[in-house]
Amino acid sequence: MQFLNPALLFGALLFAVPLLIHLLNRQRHKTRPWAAMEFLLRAYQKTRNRLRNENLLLLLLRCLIPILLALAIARPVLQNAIGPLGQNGSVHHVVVLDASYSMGYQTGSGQSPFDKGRMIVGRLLEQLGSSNERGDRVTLVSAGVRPKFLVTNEANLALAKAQWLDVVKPEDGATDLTAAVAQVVASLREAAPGQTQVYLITDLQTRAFGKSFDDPKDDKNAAPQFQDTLRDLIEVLKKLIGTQVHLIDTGPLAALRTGGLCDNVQVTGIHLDQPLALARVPITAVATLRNRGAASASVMATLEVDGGEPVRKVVTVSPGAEVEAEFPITFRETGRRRIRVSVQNDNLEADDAFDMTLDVRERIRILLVDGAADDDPLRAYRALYQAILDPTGGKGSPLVTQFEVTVRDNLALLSGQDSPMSYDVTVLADVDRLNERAANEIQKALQAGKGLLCAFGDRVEADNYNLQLHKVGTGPMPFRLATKTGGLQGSSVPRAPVLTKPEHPLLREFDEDIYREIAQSIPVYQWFATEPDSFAANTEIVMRLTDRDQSPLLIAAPFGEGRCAFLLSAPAPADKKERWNRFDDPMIAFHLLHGLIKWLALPAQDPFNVVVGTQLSCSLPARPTDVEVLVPERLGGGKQPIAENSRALPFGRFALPPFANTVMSGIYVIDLQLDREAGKENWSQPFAVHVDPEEGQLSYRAHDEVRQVLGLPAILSDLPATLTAAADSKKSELGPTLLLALLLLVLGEAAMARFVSVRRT
Amino acid sequence: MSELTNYLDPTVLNKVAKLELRARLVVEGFVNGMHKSPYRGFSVEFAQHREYVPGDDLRYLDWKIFGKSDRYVIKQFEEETNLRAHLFLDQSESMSYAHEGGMSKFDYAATAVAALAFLIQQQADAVGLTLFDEEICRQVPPSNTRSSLGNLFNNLNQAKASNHKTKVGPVLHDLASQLRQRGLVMVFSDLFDKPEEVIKGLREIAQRGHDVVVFHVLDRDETEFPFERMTLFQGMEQMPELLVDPKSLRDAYLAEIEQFMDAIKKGCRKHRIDYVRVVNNTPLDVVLTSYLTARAARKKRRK
Repeated sequence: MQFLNPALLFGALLFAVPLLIHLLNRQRHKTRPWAAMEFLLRAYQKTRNRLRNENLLLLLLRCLIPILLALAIARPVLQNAIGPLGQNGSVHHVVVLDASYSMGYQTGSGQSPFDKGRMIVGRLLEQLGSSNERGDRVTLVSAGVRPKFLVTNEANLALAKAQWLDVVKPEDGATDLTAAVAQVVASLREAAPGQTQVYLITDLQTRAFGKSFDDPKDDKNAAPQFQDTLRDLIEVLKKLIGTQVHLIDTGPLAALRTGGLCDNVQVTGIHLDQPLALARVPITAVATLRNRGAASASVMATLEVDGGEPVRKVVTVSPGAEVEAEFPITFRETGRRRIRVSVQNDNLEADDAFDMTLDVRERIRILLVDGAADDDPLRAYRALYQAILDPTGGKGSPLVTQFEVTVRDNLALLSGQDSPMSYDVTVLADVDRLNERAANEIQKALQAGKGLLCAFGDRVEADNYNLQLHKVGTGPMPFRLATKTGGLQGSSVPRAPVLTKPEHPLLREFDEDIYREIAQSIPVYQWFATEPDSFAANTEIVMRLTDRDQSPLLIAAPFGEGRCAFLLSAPAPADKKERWNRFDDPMIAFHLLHGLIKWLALPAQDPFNVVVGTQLSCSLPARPTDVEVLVPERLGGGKQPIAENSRALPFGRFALPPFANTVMSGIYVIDLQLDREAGKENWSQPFAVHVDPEEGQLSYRAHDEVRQVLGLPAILSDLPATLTAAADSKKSELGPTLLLALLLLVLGEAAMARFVSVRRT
Repeated sequence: MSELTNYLDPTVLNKVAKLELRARLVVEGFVNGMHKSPYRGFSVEFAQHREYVPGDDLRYLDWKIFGKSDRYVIKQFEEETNLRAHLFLDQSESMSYAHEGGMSKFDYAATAVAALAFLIQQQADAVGLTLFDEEICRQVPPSNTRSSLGNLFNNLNQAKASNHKTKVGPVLHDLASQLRQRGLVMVFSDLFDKPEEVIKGLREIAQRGHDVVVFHVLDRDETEFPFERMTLFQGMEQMPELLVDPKSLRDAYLAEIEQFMDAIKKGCRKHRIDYVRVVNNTPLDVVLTSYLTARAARKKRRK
């Protein structure tokens, strides 16, 4: 038996009042001489026992009234109502509060589900603090981006309260409770067995229970089943000795108990209509807006570039639909830029804005290593590449050409006169061989996010490539070259390409069927075969040939932070009589090379646009020092230093020390100094962190459904009655029962007193 | 007449200090209030005259004297003149009890005794008085003279409740042996003694040919027990004290005292003794009527 207000038990001392009244009444008697004493004494002897019993019973009833009243207002709680006793009778309270951004949904009362959850936990701590003689312990878990154990098995409730005060709002993560509950199960299994109360406080959003809460396909009448392990984890918790699980719904539809859908319009993403943004070249930023609610919504979408003048557009979004809002932009300057698209705040603020960073370049710089540089200029490869990519020789407007082609012969590459690091894309056009220096430079450039296009032609020495670029599987070439196959034009059966991955971004220029048909009708006479068993796992074969072996023709693969593409039959200018194919045809050459170069110019990974919870990191050309992170306003703003040392990467690069506290969306700017040989160099990089739009699907489950699936006796909307003032017969607080008993006792006393009075008069 | 009848009320009489006056008021109030005389069946042997009192049988009115002197006189006969009335009055401590604002049992009984003595003497009968507690205290021999009546009143005035116990049985036994000539014996007592002892004493008197009338004098409190608050009852006659809630004992007490009174009453009836229960807040005419009834009954038995 425990008491929620044990101090009030002193009120039981009032039981002495009836005794005192009784004794005072005996003192305040009248004295009377009496003649018929013999009869009085005889009557007294005959009735003494009955009178004594009646009087004792009345006195007992009257003494019980204050005792029972004191007990009732001291609010006793049955021990077994909250589980079997631990060794010392203390209770371990484990609170898991859903801190996903859907918990920030503002209801009409201005209180979000998260606020309600905080209040509930605050009340729990207050109540424990007022009656912690038994030494209760608490574990507080904020189930945000990652489960965060604020305190674990902590008996110092003041410390727990202090920790809890730091949790003021939900994170911008998309959370299901599985990971948090799994960690709770693990910690409880390690802890000593005892009485444990687990409170899961969530909004009952479908996503909170895992990804799948759909009706089974086979039997539509059957109850929905979780496909994650949350149910199993709760079963495990329930089987732990002395453990009870309470699921508390604080969601906006908690009062209805029937679940449903709440309105929410969100910005789900931003993309550009071009893969690359170039300075002074108009480009369109396309924001996708989604209406998650059940009613049509007109919203004002606002675009801001680097926090500048906003551009607004009214967009109407049908229920459940996604629409695109296009904003034409022209960047005047190069560098890392920020774009933010937002809609006016609705009830869920976290997904009302979406940030993006992008690298705006002057042009795409291409190092063309011409394997036939010594040949007739009209027959050299540069004739084709320059004509297709840079017809103005780097002097035209960016509107005309986006590429700047620098032509070098192989010697420049082999001798290190020029380095791929200085270019966005390096093209090895039928380069016969590479030495180790050149291969290392290429790998270093790839490691830094540059691109490499290898076009294999007549001059290529397969063994050399296998040695320098394949490097037994460790180099950027993810396969081994075999032998030249096919023959010269007219001497062999021409083959045609097949677009095996027509949706691959590398082929984005072939966006119309006619171009695809043209591409697949281009004759290929000769090509390099590959060793079939040598392909690495992350290799994509984008084009094959129609020969018997369906030989790969265009192969794409990432390496480091960069991308590689391998064209097994090099395109050559039309004047080159021994050309291997007819890719020089302008109908195909333009689309093929533009697509290839633009794709290769982009890093393989974009570490600068990530979802909430992702660690911020990238590779750097020198060792970083004095690393600081300027966090967004949603995380409180201000700079936070990163004390961790950077990690060295291959080819002289260094990893930015990871910054993991990306629990809120927005722009994180990392400022550091690069420790170069020439001295320190300031370096700044913005990272855009955005929410997972799926968390904005405010679909809530019905209580009965959840109760049935999780196997819980009830879904609560507040703390269990064992801890609250409001009582419930099943909730084991004895106060109301005692009050009822008190009422009965008072009535019984009155009846007894009346009976005795009537009987005696 | 109505003023006189008021004097039958003990609360009124209580304000009258002199016993003799009290007795006279009682008798005159009683006589004026009667509608029918209880005097009937007088003997034919004339002995003397006496004053007419309402209720006397008009057959015995001496019309000659009325014709000569315009006075109402009744002819008395020999046997009537021989009536000897013995009045026994208990003066034990228990008789001193009085309810709040009322007469004590002793005062009430003394007034009744005085009234009866006055009435008897007026009828020219002999009346005597015996005061007793656990023994005989005082005695006035029966006489029909006025001086004797004065002596009786003096004794009554001097008497007061003693601090002795009631022992009715032995006293009656003693008195029975003293009563030589048959007569009317009237006992005024609360009879707080063992009922069988009381009956035994009364029986002895009755067996000696006396007509016995027992006036069982009780206080209103003793018959109603109306107390409410916690009370310490201090027992009279060396009885212990008892602190008790009177309400809780009321029923049992009343049952006890009723049982006691029934025992006395049944014992009296068994031995043809008149039993009159008198509570000291009831008018005294009950006493006088009871006397007259007893007198008439006695006369019938003599016939």
